Amino acid sequence: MDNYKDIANHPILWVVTFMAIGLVLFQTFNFLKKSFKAGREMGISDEKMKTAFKTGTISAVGPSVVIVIGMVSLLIVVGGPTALMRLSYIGNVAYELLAVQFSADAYNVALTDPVIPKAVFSTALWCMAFGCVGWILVTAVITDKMDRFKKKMAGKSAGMIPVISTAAMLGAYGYLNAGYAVSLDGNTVALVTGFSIMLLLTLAHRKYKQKWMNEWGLTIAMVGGVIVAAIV
Amino acid sequence: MKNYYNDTYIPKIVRTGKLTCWIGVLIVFLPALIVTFGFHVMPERAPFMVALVAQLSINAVWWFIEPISFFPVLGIPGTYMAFLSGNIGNLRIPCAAAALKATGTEVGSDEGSIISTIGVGASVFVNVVMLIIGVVVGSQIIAALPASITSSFSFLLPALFGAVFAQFAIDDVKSGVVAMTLGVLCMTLYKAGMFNWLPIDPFVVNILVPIFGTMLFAKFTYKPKAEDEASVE
Repeated sequence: MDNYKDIANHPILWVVTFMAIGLVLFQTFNFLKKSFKAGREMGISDEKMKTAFKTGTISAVGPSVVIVIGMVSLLIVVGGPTALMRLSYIGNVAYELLAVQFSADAYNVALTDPVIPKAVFSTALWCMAFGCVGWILVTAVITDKMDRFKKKMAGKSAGMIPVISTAAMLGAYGYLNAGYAVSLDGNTVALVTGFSIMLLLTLAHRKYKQKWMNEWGLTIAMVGGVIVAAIV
Repeated sequence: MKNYYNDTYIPKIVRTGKLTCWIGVLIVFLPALIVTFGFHVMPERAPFMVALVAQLSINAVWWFIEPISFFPVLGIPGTYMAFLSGNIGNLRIPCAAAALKATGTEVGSDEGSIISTIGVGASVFVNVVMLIIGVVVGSQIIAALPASITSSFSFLLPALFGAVFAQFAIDDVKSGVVAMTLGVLCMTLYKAGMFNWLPIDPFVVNILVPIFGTMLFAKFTYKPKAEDEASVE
């Protein structure tokens, strides 16, 4: 990256990055304020909402480690501001890494090469932008219309909404898990261990009603899965 | 009580949500525009097209699949938030799901969408703070760690996905079995080249069949409980 380091770390790109993060934080503050207010109007207890916030905070740490590690590999090629922007704002760590890989491949260079052509950098930026803009476009256009789709899927019975919702999630993770399940290596061990620990903790929570089991469950399952997979 | 959610909260959320998303669309292109036209680093035409087509062929299907399959869990506010901040399946959904579980809230209800939104909101703060620390000192920390630890980082994601799956499967064991069976079956058939006759990218089958197959399974095996009938408006 040496030949385009000055461009990749230019102050103006930092300004853009902080604009993007500013937009995300503005939306988050705004929505949280509205949601806490709506929650109170709807009779959700403050304690319940605090538990939700605390659990969200604790559960975000483990997954964020994955994203931070992705960012470190990313910033070697695209510089600090772009890496930070792409991972705190629209998109997904896996696709940003692919954008860099595809761009380097297209110019027949390896990311470990001492000199990478500048054009790889600008190509990667365009791939990242076009690659992730669809998510936000689709969200902007269809989100407020989705409630009708959900109700239609559920038909006449309101009780079916949570059942269909859970099934959609299970299907999505069924796909995400499948690659790791059929690889039959350390990933499979991590998958099965993470699954088993979470299952046991959820069952234990039903019996013993210890709050920490739910709040910390995801983190414990993740760390446990990694440790067992690393040992096996 | 229900009126506040539908009549006041949601319209406000939709207005801010749409506005922030459209601003988001503009900001996304700024780095590429600045580097290409401000610093005159032009991509070369042929490799640019190769890279872009490769990228879009992998991403584009997710633009539609993710909002549809994750919407029921996130609700309207959670969807705007999760998609503006990104990393949905690997960060926002796990946090929303954990918040729902910890508070014993039903997925897909109005209350559920408030709780998911709070869970997602909390994850935004954690993620931004950790990334800012990471961009400053991340490289040094990772370089200082022994190889035995850095090599096991790759197991974080499968462990996370397994745990999230367990959170939902426990509520509906049968759908869990169906989802996993369809997922593994499609992946195995795909690897054996059984979907190559399709006119589209055969990988799409791996995504669509488990999601919609499980939804249809749940729809057709659903038996309303007596209490449900009373809750229908």
